[in-house]
Amino acid sequence: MSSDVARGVYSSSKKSSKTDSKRNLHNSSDPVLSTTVTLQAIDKYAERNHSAKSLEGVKYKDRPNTSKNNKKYKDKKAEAQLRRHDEKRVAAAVMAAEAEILDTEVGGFIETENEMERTHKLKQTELSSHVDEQTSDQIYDLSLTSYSPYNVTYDRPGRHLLLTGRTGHVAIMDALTRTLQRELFLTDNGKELNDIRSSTFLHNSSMFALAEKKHIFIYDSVTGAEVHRLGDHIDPLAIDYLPYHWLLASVGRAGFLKYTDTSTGDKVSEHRTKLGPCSVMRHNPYNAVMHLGHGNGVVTMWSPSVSQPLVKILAHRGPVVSLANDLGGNYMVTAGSDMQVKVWDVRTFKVVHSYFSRRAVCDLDISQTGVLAVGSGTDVTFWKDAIREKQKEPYMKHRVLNGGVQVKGVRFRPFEDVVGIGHSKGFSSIVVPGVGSSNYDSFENNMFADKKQRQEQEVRSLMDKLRPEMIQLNPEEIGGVERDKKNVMMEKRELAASADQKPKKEKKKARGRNKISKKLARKHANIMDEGKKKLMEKKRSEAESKGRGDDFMSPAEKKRKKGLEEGGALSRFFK
Amino acid sequence: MPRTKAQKSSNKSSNKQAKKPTDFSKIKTADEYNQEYLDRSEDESEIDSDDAFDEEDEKKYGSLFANNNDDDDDSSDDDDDDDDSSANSNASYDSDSDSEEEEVDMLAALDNLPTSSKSNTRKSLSTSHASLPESRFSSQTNSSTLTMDALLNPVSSAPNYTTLRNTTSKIDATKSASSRLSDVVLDRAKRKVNYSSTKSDISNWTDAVKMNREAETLDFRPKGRERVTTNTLSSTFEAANDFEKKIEAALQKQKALEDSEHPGSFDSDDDLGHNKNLTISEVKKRHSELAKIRSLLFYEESKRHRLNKIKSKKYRKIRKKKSDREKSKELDLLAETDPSKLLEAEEKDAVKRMEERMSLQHRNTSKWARKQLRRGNIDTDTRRMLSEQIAISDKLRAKKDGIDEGTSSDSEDLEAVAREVINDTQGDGDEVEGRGLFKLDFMKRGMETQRKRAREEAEGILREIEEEEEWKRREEGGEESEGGESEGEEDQKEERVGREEAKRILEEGIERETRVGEGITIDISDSDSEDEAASSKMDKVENNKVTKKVSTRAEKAKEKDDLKKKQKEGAFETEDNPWMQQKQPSKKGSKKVASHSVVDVDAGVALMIDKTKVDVTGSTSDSENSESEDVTTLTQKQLVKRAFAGAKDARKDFEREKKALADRDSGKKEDDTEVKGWGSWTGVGVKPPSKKKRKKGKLAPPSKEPEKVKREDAKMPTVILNEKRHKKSSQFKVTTVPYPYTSAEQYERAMAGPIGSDWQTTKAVIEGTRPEIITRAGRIIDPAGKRMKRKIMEEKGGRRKFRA
Repeated sequence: MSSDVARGVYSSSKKSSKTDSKRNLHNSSDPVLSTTVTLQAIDKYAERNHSAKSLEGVKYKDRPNTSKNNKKYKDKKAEAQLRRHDEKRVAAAVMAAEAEILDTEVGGFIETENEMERTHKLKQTELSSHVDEQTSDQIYDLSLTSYSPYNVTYDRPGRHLLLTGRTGHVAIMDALTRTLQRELFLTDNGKELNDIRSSTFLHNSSMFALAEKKHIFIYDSVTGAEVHRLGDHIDPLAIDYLPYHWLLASVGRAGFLKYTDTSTGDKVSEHRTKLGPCSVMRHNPYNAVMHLGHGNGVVTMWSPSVSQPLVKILAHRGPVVSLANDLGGNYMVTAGSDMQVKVWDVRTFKVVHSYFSRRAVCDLDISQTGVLAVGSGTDVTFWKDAIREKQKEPYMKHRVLNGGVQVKGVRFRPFEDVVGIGHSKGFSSIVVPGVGSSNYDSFENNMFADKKQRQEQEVRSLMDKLRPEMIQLNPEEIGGVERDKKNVMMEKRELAASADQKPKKEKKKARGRNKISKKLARKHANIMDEGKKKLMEKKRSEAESKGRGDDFMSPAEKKRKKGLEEGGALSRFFK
Repeated sequence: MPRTKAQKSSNKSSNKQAKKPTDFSKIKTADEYNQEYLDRSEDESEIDSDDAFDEEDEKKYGSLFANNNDDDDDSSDDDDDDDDSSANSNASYDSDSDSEEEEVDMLAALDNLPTSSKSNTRKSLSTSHASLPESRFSSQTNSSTLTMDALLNPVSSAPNYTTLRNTTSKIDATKSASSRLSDVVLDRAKRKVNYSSTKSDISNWTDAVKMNREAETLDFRPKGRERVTTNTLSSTFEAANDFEKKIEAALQKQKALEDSEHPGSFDSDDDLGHNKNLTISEVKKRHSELAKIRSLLFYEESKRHRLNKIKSKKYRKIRKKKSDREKSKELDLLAETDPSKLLEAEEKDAVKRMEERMSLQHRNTSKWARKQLRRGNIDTDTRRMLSEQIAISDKLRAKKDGIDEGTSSDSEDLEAVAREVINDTQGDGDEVEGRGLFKLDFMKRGMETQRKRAREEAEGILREIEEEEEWKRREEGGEESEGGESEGEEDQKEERVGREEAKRILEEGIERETRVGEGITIDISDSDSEDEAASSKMDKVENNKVTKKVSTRAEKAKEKDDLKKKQKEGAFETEDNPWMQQKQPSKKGSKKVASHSVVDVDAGVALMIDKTKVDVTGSTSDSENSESEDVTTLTQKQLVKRAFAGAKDARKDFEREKKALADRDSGKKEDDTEVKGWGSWTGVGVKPPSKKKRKKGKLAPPSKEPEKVKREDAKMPTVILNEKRHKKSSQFKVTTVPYPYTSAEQYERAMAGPIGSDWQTTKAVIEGTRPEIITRAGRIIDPAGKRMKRKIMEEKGGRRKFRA
């Protein structure tokens, strides 16, 4: 068995597609080939830019560079411009494909030397002897029994690791150097155990949020200080963070999905799922739509600006246990209590294929290269190309601590061939070759960023912050043309109607000139001093002597008097 | 000034008419006129003389008209007629450029002319100078028109007036001018001519303008600048000073040396040997050799091609046999000479065999074979081929004698062995008693550990086999579980299984009927019988033994038989159950154990219950109470299904919700045909009438069948899509297609593709955001020349185009 971790060998289909496109690119002087190149390039480009969705509905002939079939536009100039634009797009796609040559690092999977070998038979101990020292250092176990089970979260560059023990132990580790950065015990001096359900880093690794018993708390990861308490999020069970929108989302026992803008601290929206407690929530990295797995087997997708779920899928019989989205955002994998693991195409909302799991699945994750990790019982299995086509056997298999533990959470470490497993006896880190993206964009996810760079990045990402309303199933629609004309007209009419009506001016109650003497007199009318009392008494007595005493009685007095006068049965009500 | 006046004025003097053509000729020759000129209106073209000839001009050309200044001043005060006449006279003088005295002389001479036309001249003079006082010269007749010829006739014959004759002959070239056209027609003609000339001029620019318009960018930067690259530098390098010369010389020397060391390394890159050292004969020889090789290769290739195309089965067979024979011969030879190689070959064969065993390659599972089999009515040839395949497979699968004996056995055998081992080691260690040495303590202990290890191993093997079976089963069942549609099928299948189970339960009940207290009747035909049975059991049975009674004896007997058969076939073979793994390591234990074992499903189910509101109590109580054996017989999937019996409700809820949405969208209302408010009291505080009480009021006309609004999720039973328009996100869309585009598709196409540098290469970004005009600051941009197109084409030929 050879593990080509360093050199890297591409797996079957991926390899062929890649080499094909490259080869064709070099022969692009050939007219026939060049057209194929352009089409391929477009497809590839579309795939990379996740616009496959937008191209999907387009008939093939309508695609750029096949403009011969297009009907001629009346405006020749506009047509020429469009044609030029298309040509440029194609050229840009080709150039982008060609520029991939600059991605010098190549990832690779384990390959068998003959048919009888099985990659999943390879143990971590064996593997560590094949890989370089730095990689083999990443194979380790942390025995943390008193606050277990543990949840695992990595930050986006994959530098920091957040370990949260269910009953109140939190540790932030530098995943690269394997050193502890900060450790917290959130247990109220050990008297009362906490209940940490979920955790996430915020925009960078300097802050993280925990879903605790009552609320969400945000902590500083350097000092460990509690920075915020989000009182709006009551009894949260799962939290997630949308880095480009700066939104922290949570869903709890009451089944309310709540979004909070972490840059302003405002609550953005609150949706009632009406589906009871929910503890499964992951966002789609392509369109930032939040996917929720519910107790009745339904998966719902949410945008903060729409109060109803965008999509509702009956995915499983019985509760949804876990779900994960792939990086491209086209596929979702769900696991249910019905022992099924289903792969969904999110564009068509159909099951691509499903797997039957013998043991109850507890957690899922999809790596940057599309490897599916399934944590169930004591094992974690890794399925290569499991999303693209149905696999017969796993790519790798790991029995945590040789059995005897329950796996709680599985997360791939970004940009590394490392997987973090949180379980009932602590934390394990293992190496699975080929799961991490081999090249990274240091402007986007810089693992080695210094303080200044991190600060710069923070400011920049704040300036580039996307608005929550932009979250929708197909983000390509932004900047497009509104197709729903009827509704647009209605809205316009309403707007026009509202514009016609001027806001009502508030009426002044007191008319006429506002004299200061009158004002003062009004004020003094309410003041009862002795002089005034005497005056009133006098007036009253005068009136009574004249037989008009009623004029100076209070309403209650009048009533009483009336009752007395009437006498009889009603008199007892008036004393 | 007088001349322009003459042009403009409306007098009908012949003089002016004569002038017109000269003007035309002038216009025709002018190249500089452009379209603007044509576009001018008539008014503009008729420039007021005063404006056209202003003071500045007067200063310049004043001397030319010095003579006429006085007249002009006079005439400007006079009325039109006067003005005209003066202009007329002036014009004639202009052309003559004679003095006034001469004129006086001429007039005097005219007086003296002794001609018949004398009176005519006088007349004409009188008419032209109406203001003249009456004299003997003044006209008396007004009859005929005055012509130039008539005027000049007497002069022509007179000998004194040669100079005058000459000048007049110059003025009047050949004939008299035709009658004057109207101004409108004239102007039109003028415009026409102007237009055609300017058009032909302008068309010279069309190419240039087109080029400019179509160009994506206009580059006005200085051209012809060479880019400095290492290539250009090295190609144009010349050693300038001594040092450089020295180095160059040294380099050349080195190069020569290298060439001599490796002859042909640089120069001869051809196989044919374009090498200076070879003689002609050598080259020829080499050439012929190569040609021979090439022809041989070609022959071989064509032969192979031909052979490959032969489709005869007989031929193939013969060939195959031949190759087989050769192979066996080789093997024999190898066995004698090199046994290690033989081993290798055998290994290869073994691998092949394994592959065969793993795959279904020769099991008539190919598309062709299946097709043939399905068609039935197989002819002899195909039958032979099919059987041949099977034979191959059998041959490959057959155990190889010598190599495989004892080493490998089928999983069944293994299983049997494992079971045996387990059975053997089941008993207590005390039972095992040996003699002599085996009686010793440490020997006993050793034996014990060995037994334990063997047992563990056997168990492991068993588990593995089971797992394998599970895998297989799952793979087979995998297709079924795909997609939501097959779930119905599953249901049916399970129902079937459930019925069978029910029967079996009954069987067992009958077997134990002797101990019956009171029985329950169960309707087997009902698919839900199992559940009912369970619930009824819940009510009535307290102890562990469940008893049942079936109405008819005949049925019982029949079922009994069936059951026995099935048990023989192993149809109720137990399957892997994760919830029971710990308590029941061996599933095929003795019957006694199986019947009394109590399965602890609690843990597993409790886990599930915790997460769901699913009601699983029925099934769990079943298993707790009595049906432990039955639970073990269920497959994993069935168990799961049992556990989530409430999932059906979820599905129903989902469907209901979906239907409600669809109805709402299609505008479907309740069956309420009555007119609202009819037959009931209205007003504040009145309770709405209950449906029962409501009398049949007036019926509303049947509403039109609401249009079926087709929802996007209409064909997806397990999906509900939100089809409401998202108002908040619509702010990021345009409501109308922006100007140059005519359709939404066009606009979106134009907007597609990123521009930013984060998603594209630098070059693509530059190309995508190229400005319309590129120029250096302060550079004077020349107007477009006539030959611009050619120039551009030349440039383009030289420059690299943007690759598309």
